[in-house]
Amino acid sequence: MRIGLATIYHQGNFFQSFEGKYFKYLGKPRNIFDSAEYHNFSEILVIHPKNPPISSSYASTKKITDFFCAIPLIISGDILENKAQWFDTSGVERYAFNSLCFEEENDLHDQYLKDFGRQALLGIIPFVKEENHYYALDYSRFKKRIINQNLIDRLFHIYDEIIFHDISSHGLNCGFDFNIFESINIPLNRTIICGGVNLNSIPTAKKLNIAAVYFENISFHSETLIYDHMR
Amino acid sequence: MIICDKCGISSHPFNLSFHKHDGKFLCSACDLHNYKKDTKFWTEREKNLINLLNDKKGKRYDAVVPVRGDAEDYYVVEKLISYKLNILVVFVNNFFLNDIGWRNFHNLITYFDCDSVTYSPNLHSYKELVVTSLRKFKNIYLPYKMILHQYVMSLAKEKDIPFVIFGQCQPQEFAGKFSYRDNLRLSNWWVTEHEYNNILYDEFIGTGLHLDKTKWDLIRYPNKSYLKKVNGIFLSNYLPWDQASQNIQSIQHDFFPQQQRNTFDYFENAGSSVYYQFHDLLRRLNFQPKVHDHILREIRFNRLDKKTGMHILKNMDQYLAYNIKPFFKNFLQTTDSGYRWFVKNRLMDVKHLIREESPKKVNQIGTRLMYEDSKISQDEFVKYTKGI
Repeated sequence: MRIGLATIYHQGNFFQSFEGKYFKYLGKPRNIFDSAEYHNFSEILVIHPKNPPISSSYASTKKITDFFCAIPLIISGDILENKAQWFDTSGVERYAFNSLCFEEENDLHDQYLKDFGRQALLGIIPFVKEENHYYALDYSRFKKRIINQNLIDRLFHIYDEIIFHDISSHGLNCGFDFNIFESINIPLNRTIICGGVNLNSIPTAKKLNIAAVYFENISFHSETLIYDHMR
Repeated sequence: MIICDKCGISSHPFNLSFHKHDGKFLCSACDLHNYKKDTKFWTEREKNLINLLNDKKGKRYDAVVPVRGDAEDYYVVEKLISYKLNILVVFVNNFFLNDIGWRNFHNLITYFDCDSVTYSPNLHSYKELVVTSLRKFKNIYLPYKMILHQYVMSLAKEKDIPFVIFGQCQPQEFAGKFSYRDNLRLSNWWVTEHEYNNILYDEFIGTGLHLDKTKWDLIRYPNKSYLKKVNGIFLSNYLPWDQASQNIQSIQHDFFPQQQRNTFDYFENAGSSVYYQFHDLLRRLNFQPKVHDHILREIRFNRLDKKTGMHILKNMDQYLAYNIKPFFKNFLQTTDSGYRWFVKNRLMDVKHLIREESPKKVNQIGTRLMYEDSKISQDEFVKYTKGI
């Protein structure tokens, strides 16, 4: 199982997020990348929100890829629509799509597939639980969609792996909500979990054969907590 | 520019975030400050702290407590002794202490009768580090901080001591950067981001440091695999921190506050010959002087009215006066022409503040932090190099 870091990026700086509502400055990219390397993370998910309170741009994405980072970067939230721009951000290893996940047909998928291959494409489903139902958040359309088997089957057909992002637990270190996997049939070996992941989530994730877990803010709240646990 | 409607702050070196609450902007520091009233929350947090400390006991000492002879150290040491911890007080000499600072440090270890270690780095090597830091980064405290963190963490590891306990977490108290629930611990990232101003070890030693390679380890933060089982924690994460009120209590333990010209807080950093002089001038050059933090802290605790505080902050330069020559003459031992060159070429933006008196006095605002029996330093640079 891979251990990754998930962090919020906006206009040249990284932020901590709490419940996806509150944002606190974390640090400059160089120090964050150095620290991620120091913690031996397998990959970094850079969440680059498009909607208020923070927004993104191509220049901002470009800036992050200019830093030398030995850990593969996954960019989410600012998937570039201009082909020249894709190749300009060559420091990005994988792309994680949110809004495109909810479109039945889109040429961009095919173009990305053709240029980078399926392994470079991830889907990201930010979800919340309301009245015993799990809803996926489609940020660009400000919509909530119920997570059903049809959606899951379609996404796993398109993408190499899917990130399930528990938004209401993000940054709270309260544990990932594994109950989401009970009502639907999901290939867990192609599933990544993020949002509230703490050390207690690790044994369950290993037991379920989850592909990767992403820690958020707590990665920066201690020297060796994750390191000690994993080794 | 967003301004906090409660305290009036707009920016901070640790960076702030702002939330809109009932149509008003609230900074992250004020947001976090609201937790201080929640007594139930803090009772629980203190219980967590005691459990954490009892969970991991050392063979001889339970915790290393880094001190600098400051009022805050008195509170931290008293608190930890009340938890029945066997502590080892560690003092890393930055050669910036005056007679008051040394006296306060000796009084601390005598009054509380604790075991202590004093570490003085080689003065010549230290001076070279300070000169390099000043030249490259306009910062004279950076070498001290690098040595301090390297030394206390290594010492805890060597002596098998499970905790290194600091008092206040500044980014949390002054900028609300972390939640109290984050269980924040000291880490290489934290130290680099908040103590070293994002200056990496490699950057520091990069060019221009005339120091033998064998001495570089003096400032290199230990590796994580080496630091396994050493936990750096902050008391302010577990206790409802009120720096000013706590510091005033140190008077009961015979602490000497020091009269200052550039702040009204005679307790914090009392006993330092440079903190409110050259160091503060460099702070003013790079951002804001320390009194900026003191004013905002007092506004948040409703001990200073916002109007008075904001007036001082808006007209800050009128309240400041710095005498930096003793640092160049008595510590660096530079020539007069060297001093003049530095002021002319490196301090051009703030050289108007190098003066005998300021037009206005910041300590005229009158707070209980200006303790009437505060001392005046007689011996600014006490450079003990042996026999401590």
